[in-house]
Amino acid sequence: MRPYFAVIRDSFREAFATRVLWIMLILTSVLLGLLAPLGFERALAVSLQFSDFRNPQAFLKDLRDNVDSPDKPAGYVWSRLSDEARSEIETMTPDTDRRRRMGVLGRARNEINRLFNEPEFYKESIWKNVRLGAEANSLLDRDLALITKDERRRFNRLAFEAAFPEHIESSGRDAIQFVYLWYPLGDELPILESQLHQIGESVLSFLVSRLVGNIGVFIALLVTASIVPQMLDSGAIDLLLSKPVSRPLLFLSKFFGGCAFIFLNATFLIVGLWLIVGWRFGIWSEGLLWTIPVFVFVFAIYYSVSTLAAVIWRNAVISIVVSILFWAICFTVGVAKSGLDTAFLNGRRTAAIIPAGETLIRLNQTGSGYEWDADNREWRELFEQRRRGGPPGVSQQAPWLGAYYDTSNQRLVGIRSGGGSRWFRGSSKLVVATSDKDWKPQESIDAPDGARELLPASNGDILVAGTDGLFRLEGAAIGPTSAFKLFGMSLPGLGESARFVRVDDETLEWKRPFAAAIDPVSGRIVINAGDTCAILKEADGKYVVERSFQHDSTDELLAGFMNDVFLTANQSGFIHVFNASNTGQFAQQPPTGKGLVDLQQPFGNNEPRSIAVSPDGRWAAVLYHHRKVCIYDSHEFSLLTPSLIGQGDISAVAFDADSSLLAADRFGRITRYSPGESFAIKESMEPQPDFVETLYTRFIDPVHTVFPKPGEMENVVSWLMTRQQTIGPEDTNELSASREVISIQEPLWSNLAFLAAMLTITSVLISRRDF
Amino acid sequence: MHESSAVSVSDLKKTYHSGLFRRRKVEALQGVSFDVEPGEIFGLLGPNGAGKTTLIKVLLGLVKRSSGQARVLNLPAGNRNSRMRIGYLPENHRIPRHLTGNTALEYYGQLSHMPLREIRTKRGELLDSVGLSKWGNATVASYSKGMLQRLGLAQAMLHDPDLLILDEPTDGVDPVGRAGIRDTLFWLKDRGKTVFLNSHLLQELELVCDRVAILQKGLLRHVGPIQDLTQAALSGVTFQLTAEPDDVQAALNLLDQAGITWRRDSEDASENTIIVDSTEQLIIDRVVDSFRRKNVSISAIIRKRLTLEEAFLQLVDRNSDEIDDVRRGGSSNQSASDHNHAKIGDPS
Repeated sequence: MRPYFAVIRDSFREAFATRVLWIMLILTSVLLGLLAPLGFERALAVSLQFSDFRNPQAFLKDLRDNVDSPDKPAGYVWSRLSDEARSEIETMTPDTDRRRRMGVLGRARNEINRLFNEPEFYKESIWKNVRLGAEANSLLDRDLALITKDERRRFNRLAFEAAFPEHIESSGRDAIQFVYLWYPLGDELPILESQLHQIGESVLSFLVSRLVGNIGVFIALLVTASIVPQMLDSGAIDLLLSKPVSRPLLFLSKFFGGCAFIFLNATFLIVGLWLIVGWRFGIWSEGLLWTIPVFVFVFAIYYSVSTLAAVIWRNAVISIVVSILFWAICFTVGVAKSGLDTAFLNGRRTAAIIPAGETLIRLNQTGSGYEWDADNREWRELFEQRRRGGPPGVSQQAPWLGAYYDTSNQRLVGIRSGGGSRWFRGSSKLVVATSDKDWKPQESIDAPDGARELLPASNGDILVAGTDGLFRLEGAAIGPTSAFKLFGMSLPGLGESARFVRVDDETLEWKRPFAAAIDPVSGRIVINAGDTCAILKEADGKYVVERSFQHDSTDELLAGFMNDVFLTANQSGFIHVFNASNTGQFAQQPPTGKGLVDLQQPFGNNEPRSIAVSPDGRWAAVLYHHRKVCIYDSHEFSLLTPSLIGQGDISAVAFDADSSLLAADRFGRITRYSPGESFAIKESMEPQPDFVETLYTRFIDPVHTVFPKPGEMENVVSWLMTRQQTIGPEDTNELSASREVISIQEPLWSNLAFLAAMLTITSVLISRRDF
Repeated sequence: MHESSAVSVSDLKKTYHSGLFRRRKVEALQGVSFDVEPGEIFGLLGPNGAGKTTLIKVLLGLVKRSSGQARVLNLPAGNRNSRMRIGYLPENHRIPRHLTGNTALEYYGQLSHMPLREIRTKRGELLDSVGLSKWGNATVASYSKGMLQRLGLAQAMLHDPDLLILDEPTDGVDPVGRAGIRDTLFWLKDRGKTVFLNSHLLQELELVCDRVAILQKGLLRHVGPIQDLTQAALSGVTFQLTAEPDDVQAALNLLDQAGITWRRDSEDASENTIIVDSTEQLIIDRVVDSFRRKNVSISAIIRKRLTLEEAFLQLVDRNSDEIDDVRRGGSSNQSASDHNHAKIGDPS
């Protein structure tokens, strides 16, 4: 191998001699030098963030409505705003466009943040009717005149949020302040250091993908494009090929010499970045280091095309042009597939399976409902999607929130999401459908603010849990004669006295991270609100806290409740199982004393999407966003990952009345499995694919599968950084919100195959060619 | 073909295809056969486009032959083991400009599977032998054309090959350098190495080559010792006479009667320099007798011998028409020279 190592070594010698390597190393050093002063300091959470507003419209309205009450916090804050801000708020109407509303909110937020800096912001007389929290009281006890300036600002913030609990999220104490050298950058962010790590890894993933993955690879191609054409120059190639070396190996040595050169540069940049983010932010991300070989691999794919062009045309410029064309083709194929997925096919996937008595209903991602027609083996459409808040198929929100079949009243119950952005979302409606109305959804009243879970109570009650409390629908959801017409449009009628009544004992602080689940057998409810987990049981029409415990997790999570056991699945992918009855050893001892069931991460860091519990209370199916399902057996205290059909493509799971598992994959297939450890298939409900599906599965998907996908290596980077096979929506971290599933192995294998094919073709070409 | 030959080619043909669907054909070699014996310096001559470089590239495996046989050091031409024992200096070679004299030898030596330690041991002496001892650490970019040639020669000799194939080794080299290269070639010959030399500087070849082969338009026109070529080509004996013109004419009449072909050196009938187109001693004796019988004094007898260049030009001129006639009558294929429009003596 001596000659080939000599060729690789010569690549470096050439790079050093031509100063290209030096230039790249210097540029990289400058970039790292610019990044190095970026850091953070721990701070107290003071500033009001956009995300702190629960309902900005209502908040601004509240301020405006209290213009005549300067002795109340709302009126006081109003009086302290500038004339411009007040004028803007006064002129704002529900029809004001979103950009302007955000502008008004932004100005109000900035001015309120400035108020927090004023030592005299808090006036006892104005806050006399406000119940301050423990942290604020402890600061008050220390005497406001004696606390530090930052603590004073913190106190003002606490007083403010205590005055508007319905509008403003309560803030955690700790925050992060980004600094460059000694200068703060913007407001402090109310996040914990652990969250900073998570966010930092996501930001790094994005930066590294864009910076190194795109720009870096392009520069690398420019720099290395001339290596092979120069080798093939007449006079140079004669000399090389006259030596006792193999032509393919000579070419491959030059190829890997180029790759090694890029590896050196990428290593310098990434290791430098790794040291900086580790030193400055405490993020010692192993995944970041793994991106080095990934980027060299991406470069190698493009470079293999470049070198093939070089062997054919012996011209560096043509090599670069061909590489760019190749990139454009890959990009086009990827976009075409992704566009087809988004526009036509993703919406067809099953979002919810609802066993409704004798029939089986499925809701797809766009909110359309279908009933299984066993005779014709097809899904009969019951109702179409209702277009609210965006085009079909691209909604990030689940179209229905917690739809279930109420066996007591034989009706389908769900909450239709309002659509729109997070802050100005339309109201969510309670929806009811019955078989006698051919399952046509009828809208009832608005769901309570902050509704997060619809809990299927076995007695037929409609219970809604959310960050504003636990509510029960009082009165008939749909009145028998209340439909009426207005301006010729038929509007659904409401029950005459339908309303949601708060039924919790109001002892909990209902806030995020939030999760709720109901035990189908006992009717008890488990609630996670912030750092508190509580079991609620019904007593005299109210739900009172039976027991609760504190934890220090800030992860979003989902919950499932079955008999004496409840489980949570958090956004880090962990499943925890708790004993619901043992008050003393709440999370320590499962009922049978088999030890703490802390099942760790069945699918790594992948996030869970939903939990379904079997009616008999034995099984809980946890569906993850990367479309895999694991099943918890509460009798055996064990976690199973059964080999279900389409595991990896499953978009919804549910349990039938007899506790059979139902799992949906593809675009409309649902498979029923026998309950039990073997999970044998009982029935497959799969309609005939239509033209679009056939085209997709028989042609587009296979072509895309075998086609090289260097662009999708970004997904591998994302996975290496976050260990998640999904990319979440940007405007919410709600676990139920749909994620884009990213493929890790497919681009890896297809790219590897492509790379091997290109190198083989080039080697054959160079072997057969006369020089 | 001889198994003991350093180079042996037999009916070697090479046709290049080009153009759309590879329909255009250029016959660079049209059945060439010859052998190069071990230990000899063998020269390859021919005008540009004759197929010399193609022949060398076939021997090295840079170009695949179309048909025929070619063996080098008793191995198929292009075989990796044969290349292990060949040192090659290409025409207009390009040693990467980032290398120094020392690193270039390290690079090419390692390509010949030489250990780095051995290269470092040998390279000083080798650079000294080609007059580059002071330039080992200088980058190739600073080398003159002649220095590059000498460095190329050094890399060809580095791994102590049995056969050196040198394509225009003195190209760009000054007269002193040429003399040095000549000395090097003789030194190699003395060590039993075979040298296959391709050069358009015929005087150089004449000085060093044991045998030469002449290629023209892909055909082998001649192969053999240089003396054969110079003697076989048109030659004769020149007589410088001192006599009255009538006496000379009378003597020439005797030659005509004896059937001896003669010609004057110029058109001028008064010019007394006569050339007899024969070198046979019997004929020369009879010519002398005839001149003496008519009292013609012979002031000088010069046996005329052609230079290699003259012989080459005569051979090429003579055969050029024949080849063209054959081509016009037989094949419509274009020859390599048709493409290159080469002139004899131009650097190729």
